[in-house]
Amino acid sequence: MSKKVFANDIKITLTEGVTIERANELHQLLVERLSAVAKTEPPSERVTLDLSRVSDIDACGCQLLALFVENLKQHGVTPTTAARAPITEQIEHLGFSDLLAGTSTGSSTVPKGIA
Amino acid sequence: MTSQGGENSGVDLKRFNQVFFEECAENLTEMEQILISLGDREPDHEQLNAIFRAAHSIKGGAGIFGFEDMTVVTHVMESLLDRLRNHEIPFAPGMIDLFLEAGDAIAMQLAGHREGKPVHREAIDQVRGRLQQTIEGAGAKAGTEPAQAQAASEAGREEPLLPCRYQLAFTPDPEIFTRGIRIESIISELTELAEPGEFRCSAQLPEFPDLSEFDPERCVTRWEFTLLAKASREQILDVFMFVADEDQLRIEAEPVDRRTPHLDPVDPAPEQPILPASGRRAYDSSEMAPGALGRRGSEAESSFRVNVTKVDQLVNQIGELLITQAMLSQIAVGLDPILHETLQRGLAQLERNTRDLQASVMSIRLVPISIVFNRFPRLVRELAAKLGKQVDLKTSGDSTELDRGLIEKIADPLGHLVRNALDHGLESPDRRSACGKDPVGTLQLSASQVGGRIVIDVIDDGAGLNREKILAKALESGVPCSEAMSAEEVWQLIFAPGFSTASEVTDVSGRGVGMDVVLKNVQGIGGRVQIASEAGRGARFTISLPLTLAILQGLSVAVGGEKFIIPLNVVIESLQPKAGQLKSVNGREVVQVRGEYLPILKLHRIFNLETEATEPQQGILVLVEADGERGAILVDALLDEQQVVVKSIETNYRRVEGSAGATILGDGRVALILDLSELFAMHRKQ
Repeated sequence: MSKKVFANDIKITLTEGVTIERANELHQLLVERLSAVAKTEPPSERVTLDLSRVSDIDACGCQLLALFVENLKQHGVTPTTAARAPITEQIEHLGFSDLLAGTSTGSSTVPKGIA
Repeated sequence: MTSQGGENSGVDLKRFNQVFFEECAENLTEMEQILISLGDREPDHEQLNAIFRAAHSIKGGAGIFGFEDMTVVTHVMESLLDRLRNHEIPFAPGMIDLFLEAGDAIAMQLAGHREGKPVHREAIDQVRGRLQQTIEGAGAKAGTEPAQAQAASEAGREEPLLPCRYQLAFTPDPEIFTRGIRIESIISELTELAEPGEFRCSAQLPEFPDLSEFDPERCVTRWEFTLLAKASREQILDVFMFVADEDQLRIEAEPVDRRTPHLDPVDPAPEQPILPASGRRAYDSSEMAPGALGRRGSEAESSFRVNVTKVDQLVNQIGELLITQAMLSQIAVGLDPILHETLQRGLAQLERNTRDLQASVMSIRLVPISIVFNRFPRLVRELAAKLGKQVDLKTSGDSTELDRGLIEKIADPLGHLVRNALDHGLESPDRRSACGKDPVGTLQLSASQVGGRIVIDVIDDGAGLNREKILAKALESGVPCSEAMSAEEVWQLIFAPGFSTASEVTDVSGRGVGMDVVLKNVQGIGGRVQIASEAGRGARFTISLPLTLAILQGLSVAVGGEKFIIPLNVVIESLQPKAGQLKSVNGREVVQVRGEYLPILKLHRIFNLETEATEPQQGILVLVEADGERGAILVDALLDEQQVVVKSIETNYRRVEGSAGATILGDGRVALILDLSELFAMHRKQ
């Protein structure tokens, strides 16, 4: 798992499985990232949650990411989520598309793959 | 997707899997019972539905808990059942056997996951293939007779369900993730029920806890599903059978051809609390029993599942408590009853409470014998078909309860007796008719509680045991015997190792191992086997078992500084004999009690102890009866009546002949528990 920071743009990349088996590990990582985002001065304008290298996601993982996104929003940051099929399909299947869309417009699809 | 339930190392899924395993076993049993009850008759709509539900529940549960392999056979089976109940294909009697085999295949997979037993993939594939062939074959056949199929379809088909728009609000248990339940499987099942493109799923977070303080394994998500489906409300509920309580799911159904909304809430509360603190089912939430929705709802209200090891632990602790209580009572004996009156009262109270507690705990372990009896209809059906015999199996006393540990161990010996009765006992229909008997033989299994024991009878109305044949076979096998032996003694010969009168070795019974194993297994759990037989009329095998193995009511007696426990259920009375009562018969000492001569067993001699009371007049005779045999045990003194915790002496020391185990007394000393039947046998040999 790694993180790339470009000036004030923050990209959080998750890899492998985002599932119950790794819930605690991912939780710790996301708490760290959240605190890093909160401390960034000036505040980040663009935070991307990159799931394009995620191999598997389950309801527990989706919930954790959704809470992470909501916590980011509370810090005034609305992240963009990026993922590829079949992860986007799985997120949609589990009903988390809206929560992970990264926008408050209620879009029902997760933006697919970014570079 | 997530790894297989059984292999998931991150979360302890075993205890949750257990729930699925138990449910699955119950569903299989239920399925089998219905199939067996059918004989070769065509199942009615209700029965088909019940079998379908059982298969569907297994498939659903297997999917949810990640045992994908178990969904394979159930899926094809479900398809066949579905076509049958929709009259798309005609019923054939062979299907019953096929379903039974499919049940076996699923049971094998279940045993594979549950106990790590080997799973024969070929067998699974074979059953699956045959189910598939049946669907295709019958389908093709039905296709050639469209008019008939159509007529059958129209005659039997129920009113097709009108499509309904369902709105579901699902607020799962906060521990649903750690229970290993896969929400995606639930959603997939709902998608399957929905009309194409008519399913919406939306996850919502009604609360946004601070991420740093959030437990990532706790579920706070609430799902809302909207679907248009031709499924019934029960079918929708079935999807949640393993996962939801009543208060966790709200369903609103609205028929699409009527605009008036029809509310059908499971829970009338408009909004669901995220953490329902009350209103949960009566089960221990840490046990995670399956959801109470569906047909098992009412049962779940009155019972809950507990791990057997927890009960065993409780039984052990009760045992220790009994020892402590006995210890305290013993100490109190030496105290002045006037000075310590309150203490004595307290101790008496403690004794009563301990006894009650013990009775309650032991009752938890009791299960009905129907668990074992229910296995036999199928066995009998298959064996009877194989042997070309007609058998009517009757059971009685199905609700008789006995210790769970005994249930598991009695199943095999009983199965053996049933097989023997069918193979050797009951005659062929022709032979029965020739003897003026009903061509249909009767095999009866009955259970009852007699005093402190459970008695199980296996009775057949066949030819009975053949005295000459048994004696001849015994001679041939080198088993000691003589023509002068009583009937009872001759019957006992069949328990000799390697004894079998079957002239032909079949795969049913008569492999030369059997009755000796039956006896050994039964004796291993403190039981006895008795045989009664009448030529041409039938035979009765009676197994008698102790109610429980863990604790028994005993009379403690002293012999030369040692203490022994005599199980109270064998004690008739005790007396100090007068010289006139003591006689000698064939060089053996006997005591005459009310006209009956009873052999005297001298414990000090049997266990080689130094004592002053070497003659009956110097001590006390305890009259006992076991297995229809009576005797008098010479002891120095009677000490106390007490409950003792049976500990295995073999595990802790070595086997001691004449003892059924040992116990720890209040003063910390070890006392042997006497096995009267064995003592009688030892006395006869002397």
